Amino acid sequence: MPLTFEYWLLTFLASLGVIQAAAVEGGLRGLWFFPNPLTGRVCAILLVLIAFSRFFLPMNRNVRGVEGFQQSYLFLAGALSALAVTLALSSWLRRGLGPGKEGERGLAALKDRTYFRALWEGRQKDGG
Amino acid sequence: MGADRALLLYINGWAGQIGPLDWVLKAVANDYLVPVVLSLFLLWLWFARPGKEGTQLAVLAGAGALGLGNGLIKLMNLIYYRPRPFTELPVRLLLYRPHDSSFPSNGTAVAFMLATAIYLGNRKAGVVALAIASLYGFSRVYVGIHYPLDVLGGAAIGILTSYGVYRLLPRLEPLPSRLVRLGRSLYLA
Repeated sequence: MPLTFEYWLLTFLASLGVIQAAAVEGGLRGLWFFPNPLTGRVCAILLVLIAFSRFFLPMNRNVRGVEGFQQSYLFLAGALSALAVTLALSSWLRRGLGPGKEGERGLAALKDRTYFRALWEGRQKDGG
Repeated sequence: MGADRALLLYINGWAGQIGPLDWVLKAVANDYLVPVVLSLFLLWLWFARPGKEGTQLAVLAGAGALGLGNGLIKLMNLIYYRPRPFTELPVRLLLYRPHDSSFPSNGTAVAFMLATAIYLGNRKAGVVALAIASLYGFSRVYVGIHYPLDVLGGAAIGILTSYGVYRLLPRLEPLPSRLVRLGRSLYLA
């Protein structure tokens, strides 16, 4: 596999884990994959470990390959893909969560409702 | 410049003496490990402190600094080229041979841009991030691809760029607030 793809996969998997860890830390239950925060933390650690070990362990990575600027946008692509997967997967896995408190906006609204539910409720409110 | 060379030869003189130390510093000096770890720190800050606008502005400053700092370094490289230490001195090279300008250390600059943004968003995490960035800079000298002055220059550019962009944000109002409000309306900030 090309190094750029391997690098994107590293950032995607690690970002998926870090977003889970941060969602547990910030109490954003609507982004959790699991209802139990401990399971969420274990899942986050495993994702980060898998990401780094599959990138670094199979071969020597002390090689020139992905330039500095390219690294920045590949990281952005990996993090945004991980965010999209988190929003979709958590909305499906935690679809029983909510409805949340009225009037909450922003990330804090995801403390008691899923992303898609928050979008839906926000749209209903704005529409009516 | 003489002191710079002498310090490089002293630090690099340890390379190849202690196997485990070589292994650790080679891993730290890698192009991918530290930048990814520090970027993940920033990502964590964004989601772990929902509703804290100051923290999220620091993350935005870090992202802006990366763009600006990379451009600044590219411009500096066009004006000034310093050969790598392994082309001039009998250093023990533990990494591959980069051919771009030795000054400033691009990797160190990026690490300090990220670490400074983390520090501006969260002091405790920032101290850890700055320690990681410093170790990264040291390791780049240890493995023989930079002079100490390259690393110091990179660190200064990184810190000043991130801090400068962070201080500039209020002057760019209402753009930063609009960005955060847009993020809020999409439940992402």
